[in-house]
Amino acid sequence: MSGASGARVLVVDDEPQIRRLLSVSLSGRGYRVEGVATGAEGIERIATDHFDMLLLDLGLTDMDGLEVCREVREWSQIPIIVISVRENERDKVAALDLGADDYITKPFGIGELLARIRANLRRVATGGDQPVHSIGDLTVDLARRRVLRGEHEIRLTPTEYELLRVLALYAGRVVTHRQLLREARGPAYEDETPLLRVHMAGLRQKLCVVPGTPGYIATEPGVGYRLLD
Amino acid sequence: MHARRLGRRLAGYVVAVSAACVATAVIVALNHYVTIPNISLLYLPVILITAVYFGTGPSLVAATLAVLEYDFFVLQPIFTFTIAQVQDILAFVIFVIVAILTGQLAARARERAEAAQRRAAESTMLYELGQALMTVHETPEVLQVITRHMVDIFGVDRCAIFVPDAVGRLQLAAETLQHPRQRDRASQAAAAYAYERGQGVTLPIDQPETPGRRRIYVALRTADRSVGVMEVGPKRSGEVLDADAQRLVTSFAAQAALAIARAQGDEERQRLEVLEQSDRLKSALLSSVSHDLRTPLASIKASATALLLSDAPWTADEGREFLLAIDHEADRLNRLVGNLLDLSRIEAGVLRPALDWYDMQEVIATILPRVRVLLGDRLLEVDLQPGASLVLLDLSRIEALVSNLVENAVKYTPPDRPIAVRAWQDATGVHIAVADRGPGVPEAHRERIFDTFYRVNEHSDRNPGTGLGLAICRGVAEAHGGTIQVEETPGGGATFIVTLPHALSGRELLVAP
Repeated sequence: MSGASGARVLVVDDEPQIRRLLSVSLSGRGYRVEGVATGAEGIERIATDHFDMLLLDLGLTDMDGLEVCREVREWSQIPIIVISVRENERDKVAALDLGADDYITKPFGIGELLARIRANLRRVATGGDQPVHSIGDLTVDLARRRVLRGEHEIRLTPTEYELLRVLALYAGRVVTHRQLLREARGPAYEDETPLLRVHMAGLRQKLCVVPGTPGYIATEPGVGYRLLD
Repeated sequence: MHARRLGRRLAGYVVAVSAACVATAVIVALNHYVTIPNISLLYLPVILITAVYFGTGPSLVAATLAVLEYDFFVLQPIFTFTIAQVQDILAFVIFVIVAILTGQLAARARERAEAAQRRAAESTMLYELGQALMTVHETPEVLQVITRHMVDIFGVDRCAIFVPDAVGRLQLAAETLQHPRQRDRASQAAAAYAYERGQGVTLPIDQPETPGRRRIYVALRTADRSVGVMEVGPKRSGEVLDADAQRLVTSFAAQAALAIARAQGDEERQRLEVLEQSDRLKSALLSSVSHDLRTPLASIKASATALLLSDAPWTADEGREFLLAIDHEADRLNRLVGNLLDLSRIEAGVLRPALDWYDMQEVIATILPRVRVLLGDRLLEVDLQPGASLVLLDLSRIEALVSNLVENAVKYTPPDRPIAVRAWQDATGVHIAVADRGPGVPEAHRERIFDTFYRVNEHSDRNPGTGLGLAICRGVAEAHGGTIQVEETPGGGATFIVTLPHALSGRELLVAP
């Protein structure tokens, strides 16, 4: 289901072992992988060649990965997934605010990384404007503003629906609290996190079948939410 | 005080004169009726009493007056100062001797009594200072108590204490003053001199309108070292701090020095204890690195090298087992590293949870998948009463906490017994409980089991560990303003209960600022 066979991935990481490992495992899935060790090289490669995806380590030897992220984002819309040992929530949010599309914390499983890459490439491929999103047995029909689990329609409040709509647009990818509020309610609501908590709790309760299971929405502690696909 | 003393002395002379006159009047009156030999003895009690109560001066006046009056009014020839008989001269001499001797004896006794009284007052003041110093333990408080007492007792404008810093330079450490004052060179020099020589220094601060005002600097010394310098004065009333006051300041300084030295000693001991604790932490971390970290590494290494063997003596299933082992052990290693990092943050007091509002359902939903990985084939019983409340917590840290508890439970529970996770809330907050069916925790260990390094069976090889996991759990719970405790699972085993405060309903959260 890769659907992205032939997509070109640039890996910027100063660890040769990681570059090598990613190269081998991604190539096996049909991606064409190139690896560089420094931020400067990475920026230059993206500027001079075409890539579909950037996997970016934050702890580079020549510059901070966040800096690379900011610079690349000034002139390129290439999807960026940050790969870092930094597990501090602030660092994650900073990377996402600077234009990264997603992050994954080292150490990670290759399966998880592949899922992230797929989700982020898919968004680019569809442009996010398909009218119907299916996540497992959940269907979000944007054209008719309906949410179905199997055959059953789930009744949501307007805010809950908007939140789910945004999460569905970014299915599989992390959406920060601010981003979610901005896109669901408008820029004026960016800082209304209590509002977000309350409506997300309601939405989760309506979507969740078995208490104690993630249901469809995973919480990224301190960062945001991710609609599981 | 001077005026009072002068008045008292004047009264002494008045009394002396009038008592001598009264005695003469009595003698003259008696002489009209009977002739009593040695009637002049009547003067003796007058002189004695005057001497005892008013001292040598007034009693000498009384004696002289007595002799003159006796000679003038009683002895023949009357109304002249001519003394005819030797015995009268003798009486005069005896009177004078009695007056002087008694006066001096009485004066000495009086002085002794006054000194005793003063000493009693001083020891009361010293005792009160001592009592006040008993209630405080930290150096800044001790210094505050001392300076406040000095100002109250001596009625001075200001009392300050200088304590040497790390390089031995005197620094102002406490100060009580009525009128803020710029510190000048002279007072700095005086303080330094007093400190270095261990002597008192008097610094005159004369000004035209306030002559004789002075501050004194007293070294605060214990038997073996100087702990600082105390500056006292000048008096609010404008009086001079006299020698008596200076002596008293010195005895206060001695007691103050002891109190300061004690407080500093306590602090030094505490600092050493912290160092020792951090030393133990370091060695625990080292032993953790050597044991806890190497165990998963050993599994990883063994599995990887097994897979690398060229003749592949294992089946496909076994190969998959090796791979699973590598995966699991790598996760375990990662958790251990996270634990060690968190522990060092807790011990350093810098663990600051990134608090956020979560509903309990999402908390459990986030935690459980990771917890299930730890369980292997074991049964997990989940009992959730999430309620509608939102709770303020750091989800990553709470997840680490519950993971630690579950990992612990797995370690101590036989493989065929289930482990239970429960979550509920009541008026006291939100509770998360992890119950195992292992040997349980004996009553005596329930308090200490959360201490860093503490293990119930110190020398057991069966369940190796460094005793860090529960310390982390408590550190995380407390950083949330919550608690953790252990109880007995009904039917045997240990139940760890984490209680977190701050549950709010969604409506309350929206209204809250």
